[in-house]
Amino acid sequence: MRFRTGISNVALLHKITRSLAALARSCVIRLSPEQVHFIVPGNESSTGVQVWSSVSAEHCSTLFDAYKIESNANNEIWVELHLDSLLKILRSADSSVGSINESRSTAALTESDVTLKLNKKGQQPIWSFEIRGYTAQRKPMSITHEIPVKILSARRQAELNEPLCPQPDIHVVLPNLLELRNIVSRLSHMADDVKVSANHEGRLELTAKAPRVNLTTTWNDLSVPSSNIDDDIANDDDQPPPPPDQMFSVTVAIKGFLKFLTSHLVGGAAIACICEDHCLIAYVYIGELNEAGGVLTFFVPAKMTDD
Amino acid sequence: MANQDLPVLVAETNDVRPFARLLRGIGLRHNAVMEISEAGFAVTVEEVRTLCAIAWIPTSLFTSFTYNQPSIPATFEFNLDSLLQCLNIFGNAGPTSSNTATSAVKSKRRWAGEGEVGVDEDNEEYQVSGRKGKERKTGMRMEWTGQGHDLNVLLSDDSRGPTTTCELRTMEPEELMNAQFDPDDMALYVIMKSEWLRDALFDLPPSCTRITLLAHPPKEPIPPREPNATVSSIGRRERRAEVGQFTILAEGDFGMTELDYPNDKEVMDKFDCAEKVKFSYNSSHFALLHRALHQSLKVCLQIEKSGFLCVQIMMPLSENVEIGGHSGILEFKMHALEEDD
Repeated sequence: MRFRTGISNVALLHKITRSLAALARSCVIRLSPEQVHFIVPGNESSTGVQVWSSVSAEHCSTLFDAYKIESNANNEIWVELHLDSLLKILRSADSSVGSINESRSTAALTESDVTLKLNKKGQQPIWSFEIRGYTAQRKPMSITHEIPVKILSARRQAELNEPLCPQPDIHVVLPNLLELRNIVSRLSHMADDVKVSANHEGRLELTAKAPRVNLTTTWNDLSVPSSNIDDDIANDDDQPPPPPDQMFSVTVAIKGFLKFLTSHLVGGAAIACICEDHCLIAYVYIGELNEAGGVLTFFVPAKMTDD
Repeated sequence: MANQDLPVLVAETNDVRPFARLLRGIGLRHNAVMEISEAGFAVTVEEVRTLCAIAWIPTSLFTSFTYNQPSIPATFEFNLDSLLQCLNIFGNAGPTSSNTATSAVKSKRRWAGEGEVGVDEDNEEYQVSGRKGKERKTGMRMEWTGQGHDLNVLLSDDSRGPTTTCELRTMEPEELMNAQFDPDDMALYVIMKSEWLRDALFDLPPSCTRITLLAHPPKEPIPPREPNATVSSIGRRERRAEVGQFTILAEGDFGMTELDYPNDKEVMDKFDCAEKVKFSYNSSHFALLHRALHQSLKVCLQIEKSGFLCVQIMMPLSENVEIGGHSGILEFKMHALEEDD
């Protein structure tokens, strides 16, 4: 079992970890030769929000560089780790590489690089991060952080399954996630649930109902990616397409919705899918859409309401 | 009854901040009573019949204001907190989205040693929020169809897409006490810059329970000299006895705070006091003035001979105000506490 990679974009990995840490205390990372999957299963987070994401691990990808993996199980390794400890390391690495807040801290190293290795310390498997570079005085410097990880057994792996969802009723490109988060966090002071609705005209509505006030925030002219051709073939019972102004809605807990919105840190475009009365699925793209760098997929379960 | 179908009120503005600022100033209870008239809004909040706060919101704060008088008075009770939260849904009407005037106050030292640590951080934080807040304004259209209907507020962020509609429940108004202040029975009339009073309220000990207002009329006999007074303090006392002064006294767990405002041109815009006045008020009520004084211009304190206090706080004038008009006034009325011996 061998694993070693360079981390080419520490800042981005730091942001991804921060948005995952908002959801749960620990996460599962599935390492395969082509991709790295970050998984937060539903039972880990209090709100039932799950994350199933994949980031390309190919050479010269957005996040990694010189990525090598070997194992007896299809060259795959599944590890589980505490997000808090990972976050601490990445914060340190990020400040050493000097990308935090664009203002170079005094601790920043030049010509720095960060490598990650899977090691063993006695019986305990560990992830070791090595940060190397030169100080301002041109002295070589190396910092190593180690965190214990748990290698997942094949049985545990089989237990982790991506949630099954019906064909989404609608896809819509979300407005700027930070703006959305600010609005939703203000709604959270007034209500517990929010109804997310969208139609094929590119209208998105967030409705919060409180005893004293009803609030609806509306966005218009958002783009609605057309469903794939494959879906149309699969849809062989020849249902006519729904009228463009028909709203599809799902009610979710504002707390859970806000947790997904912490991913505004990642800074990419996001698409939301509504499976009526089932769940809200949100895809947050890592890097540019066309780069296929990766995607974080959030499943926010629906809350059943009486009306 | 011709105007039965028309909404009672339609008010529009392209910046909700002045409106929100006035409402926040009286935000001491959840519910408030709004009265609509041709002159604008009067929003009243009463605290257990001891404190009455009114925000007078003139029509000049709105770009358009249409009022169709219904057959019954246009008055309703609503949830003030919810309205304020709605107005701030895009983050442009919150307590932090402030203008330059407040940053000066904010960075001012409040207690010895306090400012030195945090000043830089404060300024930096302000600059960030200021840059963002400058460009963005929330526009509003408020509509009320009449009694029994919700108050509809449509808010939009001017630069980009999102709009928010709020339907606020309205209720039958609770009976208000709203005791009237009698200007003919006035014992003290003081007008000064809001900042003077605001800074004083900052400095009052948090543990005090009652605040005493004291005013000496001009040309009083010079008080007897205190045995260990310095020359400058004797001079100051004599001068103040000559011109008259206004004093705020508060006693906390760790001692007494006394703030003197001499009747100087620099300090007082107006000081009418015929004889010595001394009344005490509940400090928790007085502390509510603090939020109201935020971003205001002038404050006027009037005390009736019975001790009934009326504080009027004037907001900075907006550009299109005609002479004699105002851009909103907050009024607080409270009764004096019984004197204890």
